[in-house]
Amino acid sequence: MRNRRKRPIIRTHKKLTDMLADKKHDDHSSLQSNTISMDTSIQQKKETEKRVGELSPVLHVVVDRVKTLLGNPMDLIVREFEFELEHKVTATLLFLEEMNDSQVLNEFILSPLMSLSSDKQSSPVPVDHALHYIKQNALALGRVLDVETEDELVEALLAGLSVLLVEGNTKGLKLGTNGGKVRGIEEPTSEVVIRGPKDSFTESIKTNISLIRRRVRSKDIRIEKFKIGEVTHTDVAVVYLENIADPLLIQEIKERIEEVKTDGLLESGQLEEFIQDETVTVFPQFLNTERPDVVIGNLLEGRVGIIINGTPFVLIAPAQFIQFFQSSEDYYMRYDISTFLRLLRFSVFIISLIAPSIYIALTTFHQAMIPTTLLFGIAAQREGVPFPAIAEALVMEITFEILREAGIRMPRAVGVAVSIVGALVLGQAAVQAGLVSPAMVIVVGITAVASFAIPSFAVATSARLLRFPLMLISSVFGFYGLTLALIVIIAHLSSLRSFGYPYLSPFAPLQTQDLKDSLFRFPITKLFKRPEKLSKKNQTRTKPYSVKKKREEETTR
Amino acid sequence: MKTIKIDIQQYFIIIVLFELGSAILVGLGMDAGRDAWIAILLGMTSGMFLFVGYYYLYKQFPEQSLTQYLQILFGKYIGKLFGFLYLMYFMYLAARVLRDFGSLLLSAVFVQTPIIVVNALMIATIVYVLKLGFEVLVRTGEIIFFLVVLLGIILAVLVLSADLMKYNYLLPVLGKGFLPVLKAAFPVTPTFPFGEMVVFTMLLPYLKTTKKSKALTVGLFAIMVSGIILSVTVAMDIAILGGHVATHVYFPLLAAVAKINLGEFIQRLDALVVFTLIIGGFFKISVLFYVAVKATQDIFGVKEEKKLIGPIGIVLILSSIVIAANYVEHITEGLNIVPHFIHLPFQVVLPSLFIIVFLIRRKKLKPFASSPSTSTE
Repeated sequence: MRNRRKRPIIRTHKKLTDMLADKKHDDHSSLQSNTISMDTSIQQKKETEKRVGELSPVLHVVVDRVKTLLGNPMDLIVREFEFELEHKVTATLLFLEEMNDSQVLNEFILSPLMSLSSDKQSSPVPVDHALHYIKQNALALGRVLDVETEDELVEALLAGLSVLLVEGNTKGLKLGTNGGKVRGIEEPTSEVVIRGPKDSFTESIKTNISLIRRRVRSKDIRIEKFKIGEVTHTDVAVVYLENIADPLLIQEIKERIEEVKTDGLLESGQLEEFIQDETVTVFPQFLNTERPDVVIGNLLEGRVGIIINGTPFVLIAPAQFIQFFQSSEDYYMRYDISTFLRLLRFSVFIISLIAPSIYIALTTFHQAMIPTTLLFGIAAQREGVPFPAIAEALVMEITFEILREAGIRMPRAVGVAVSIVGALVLGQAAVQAGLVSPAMVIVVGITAVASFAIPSFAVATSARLLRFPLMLISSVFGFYGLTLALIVIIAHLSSLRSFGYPYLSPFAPLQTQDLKDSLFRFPITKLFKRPEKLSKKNQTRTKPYSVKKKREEETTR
Repeated sequence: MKTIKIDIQQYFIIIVLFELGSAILVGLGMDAGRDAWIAILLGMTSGMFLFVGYYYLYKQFPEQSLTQYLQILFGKYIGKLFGFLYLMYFMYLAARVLRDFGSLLLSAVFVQTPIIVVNALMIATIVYVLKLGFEVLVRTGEIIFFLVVLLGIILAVLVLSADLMKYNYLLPVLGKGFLPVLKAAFPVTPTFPFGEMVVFTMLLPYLKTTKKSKALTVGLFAIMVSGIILSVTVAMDIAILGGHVATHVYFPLLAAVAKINLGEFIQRLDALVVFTLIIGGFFKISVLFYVAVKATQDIFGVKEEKKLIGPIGIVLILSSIVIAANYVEHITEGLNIVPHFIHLPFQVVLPSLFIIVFLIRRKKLKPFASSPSTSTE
């Protein structure tokens, strides 16, 4: 706990002292220049400031001001029109063209306003009450809010709202007419399941929040908004269930998000790097998902979701190592197959981590462990290969990494060619040319396939990175080096914390209750409790339930 | 200074891993021939009595470690002198275990590698882990424990299914009477590994429990579990290799497991044993290492323990090389000299002395012992 608190506190402390220093500096200079006419100059200054911030009642002044502020953009539409209250009133509607829904603008704002006439009103409305009147009577729109300053006005325009100004008023109205084209809800591309919901998050934070809201009809769900990025002003939303999540955790997450000061935020990966506990590690400390059901499952366990506008990948914190081997489908399928699949995925991770290292250690140091006949086979294959096993393995692994990267970046049409060349180069030709032995090809092949079977891409990359140092150390120290390296990895994992929660729990420190839903998945009727450390105040999630028992009771009756 | 907290199941795991660490490797109580397993059980029982003594000291000074309460017991200077002796003892033990493992690896795998390289790699790993903190070591221990149990079960199943054991090798039980067994058991077997529990006098204050007596019951249970595992392992070694061979090889477990051959496919599993042993050795050396660090900290008043880890690591590497010229010398010392002249004084004589001194000075010391704020620096 103490460790993770250290950094932000120091940072804020520094900032505070800086600010204090700045303030002193300012005071000093102003004292020097304005010693004589201090009172008057300050008063003047205040007045001008007021004038700069507030909206002018004269329409074209405001419009000009907005135009200069935004650099007179071509997509800024300034629609002037008149409507009738006591007498004719001029009004202006300001909006950025492609960010607003023109149909809404026409039908619910312009047309009702322009059809206003003085006969319908019971009593005449003075001009300075116009805004209030049209807000109450004319605008057929849900989200209508006041705008008082220029900054607010510009911000509203940039956020995709339209702004209505009325002559003679020092206020405006911002109207929730934002629209424009966003990608629709599609099937998830990175987390495909056979059984389970098929919708996924999109780039729009509104859609994403709606996807979550629709599934959790609880009054306890909390969605809190932040803005990050001095230039991009990206919306970030923190989602949690108030009656389950630990308040300390939520406070910590909010504090860390507020600390982030940067120019722009484009993807959740960037935020992840800012607010993670440990930078020097290959392991992901956040879960990311594009599936709404995964987010909700985690909210129910007391975790917190972080949605970022502009990306379909939602962060979930705190994350535990074991979660990267779980898939939402595990809870939708029967528990036996889910347990089997989880164990399989974990062993697949181990294979992709150490398979080449084991091959290297076996062939360089521990030949005696290989069954004799197989040993002869391998020795015969390696006869024609001039390199030591580590060189062979490195060449093959690196070739594979190149192919993989090429396969991702290539246009789809060329991709086929790459895979054909790759398969030939990797498989056939390299063996025939005597560069590598066939056994090595098999090992690299298994490693490659294994690394694709890990459900989480984030943790697959950690295995991918760690593979190389492990190969090197086992080529020098055999199983001894490999064992020690694995101990180092385990120790590193147990030293990691995600928002103060041990990364390796429920294994270390051991939490027996939580083991039920870790590498294994017990039947859902047996998963009574939420994770122990995450939800201190609200532990029970399921009441014991047994159809069998019920039936037995009925028959005895 | 960060206070470490060990909970009760972690405490259990540390003791078991620590006890098994290197003891499972060398043949224990082999002087008793085919009755070695009885000697181990006897050693275990007396080791439990020793632990009760250590627990008694802990109960009097629940907030202080050995090197701290020695300074209360004897005053600053004599207390520090005793503490220093214990520091030397812990470091010697660590160096010995390190040497054991280096030698094992040299004989089993790295025939041409210099021992200093092998030992340095081990120490480098331990230094890394300890720099992350003792709590990380303990949590790593939890994972390691699962692994060791898993491997132990696999090995046991394989040994049983390979039908290697000839139980008549164990017969007749107590064929030469009880005396040779007793002779083998005392005073050597209680001292290693059970008497080495004396290092826990340094760790007990960090235990986080509601009841102090749990430290005793769980500790004794852990000693019993590890004693039984050791005893069964040795019995298995003898049943596979025969009493004569088992007593004369350096590493009986290795020789026994090497005999496993299932369908010409599963064979030469000694590498698997070596793997388990590396893990156990790593853990044992780490605990000794950490205790040495703590002792140094108390005696020399060093504030930051992390600064001590590197230097002590280097001292351990070097001393593991110079403590013996070759493995035969090392093992002879270990069997004949160390138990009598090093283990016995530090595990039995000195702690008894401390208890006696405590009982004499009890009244004077009472205010010190009960108040938690008297941690001397």
